[in-house]
Amino acid sequence: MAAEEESKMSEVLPREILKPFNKMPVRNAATVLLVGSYGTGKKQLAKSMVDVCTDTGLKLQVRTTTSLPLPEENTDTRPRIDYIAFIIDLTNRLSFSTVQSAVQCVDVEYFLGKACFVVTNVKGTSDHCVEMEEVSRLADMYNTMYICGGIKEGDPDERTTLANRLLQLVEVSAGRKKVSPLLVDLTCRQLSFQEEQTEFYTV
Amino acid sequence: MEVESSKPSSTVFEPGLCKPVPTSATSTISNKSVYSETTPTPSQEKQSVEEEGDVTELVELKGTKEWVRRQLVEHEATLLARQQDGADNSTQEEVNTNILHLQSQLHEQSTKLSVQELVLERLQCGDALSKFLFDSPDLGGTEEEPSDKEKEKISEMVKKQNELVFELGKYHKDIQDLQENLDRVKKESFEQQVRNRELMTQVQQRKEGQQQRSQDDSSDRVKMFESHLEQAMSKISSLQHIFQALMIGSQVHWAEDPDMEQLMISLGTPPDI
Repeated sequence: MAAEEESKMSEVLPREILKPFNKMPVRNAATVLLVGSYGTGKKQLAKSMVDVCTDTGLKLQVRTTTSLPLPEENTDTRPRIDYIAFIIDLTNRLSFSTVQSAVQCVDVEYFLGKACFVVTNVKGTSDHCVEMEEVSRLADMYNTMYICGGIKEGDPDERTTLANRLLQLVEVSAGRKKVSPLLVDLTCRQLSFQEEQTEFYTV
Repeated sequence: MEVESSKPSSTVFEPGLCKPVPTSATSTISNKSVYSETTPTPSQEKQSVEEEGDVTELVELKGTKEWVRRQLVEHEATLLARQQDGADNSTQEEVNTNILHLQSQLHEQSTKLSVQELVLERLQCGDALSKFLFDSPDLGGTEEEPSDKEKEKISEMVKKQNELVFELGKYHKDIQDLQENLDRVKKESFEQQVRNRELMTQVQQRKEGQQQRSQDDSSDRVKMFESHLEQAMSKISSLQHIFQALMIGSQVHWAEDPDMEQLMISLGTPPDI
């Protein structure tokens, strides 16, 4: 088992792992990376985020990718990635497996409040190929929060709400708010009560 | 301001300064003092516009300073974390308790800091306000009339602020009560669920016991009934044979009568249920 894990880890080279502190931060600017397979609605979400952001005075750059690691050609021109959002579509099995392989190419420091999972198509369980339990297990494994929202289906208001939420998290991780990302990460989970709950579920 | 570029391949790098602020701000800082309010100028409008411009730039610079400080704190924390060796011998539980402890400490310190900052801001605002309202102005008497209007405005705002703070206090108290209620209800529901689970397991056990007992009983009863049935069958077949023997022994020509023939044949077939 250990040998298998080592061989898996050696497939990702150290220089390919995305690290948060490799580049300089930029004042009044932030970069978000949306990771998700085709058809998850990254471009629409990116557009909503940019539309929401025009009033706040923050220069937001949204980059999208279908897989990690990122190509080496743009490494020099690419700015520092302040926040990563992994998009999982519950009706698309490929999106979940893409995210599962992508999280291995991200440095652990991103999972201290600079990353989250965005889960879409949560309503209407008849079309689901991915169980919500799998998503919550993945989120627990990486100690990162997940947000449920709608990008393609439903009202455009849902997309705007999701964009707003992501934008608040991005602003925190870019250092524009007085709160540090670790504090936000800490307060989104009530650890003491959660432990009681897990005991209850195993009875 | 200098900008240092980070080394591309290193895992640990020296935190540099941020990008330079817009050159207009740097030029005003270098050319004239920001505190230009005390120097009297001939045109007051020009002065107020310049003051506003200075104030916005000052606010922007303050924001930049805060941002740089926060970035520095983050980078220093990351450096510290990377320098610490991960204790591989500790179990998962120990790591979890450590994390919980550290998180509660972070929570405590952040709340302390934000409360201190709020108190400081309040004190500064109060000080400035009281100076504005109650201290006599240093300049001549011609400015008294507009300052009275401004004073009225400000006293109105202070009254409004007092009312809002009072309302806020009330809402806080309501929220606190509701939160306590919620916690109590959550706890109760959790206890109820645990009790329900226990009762369900008891019910399950009793049901299983009952089923077991009924199976045993039924198997005994079934055996009894089966034995009774066998006895009855054997009695019937022996009676059949006796009747057959009687008919043959009575020397009746049973083959000539179709009814008698039928009876004889039926007596010969074994009983079938």
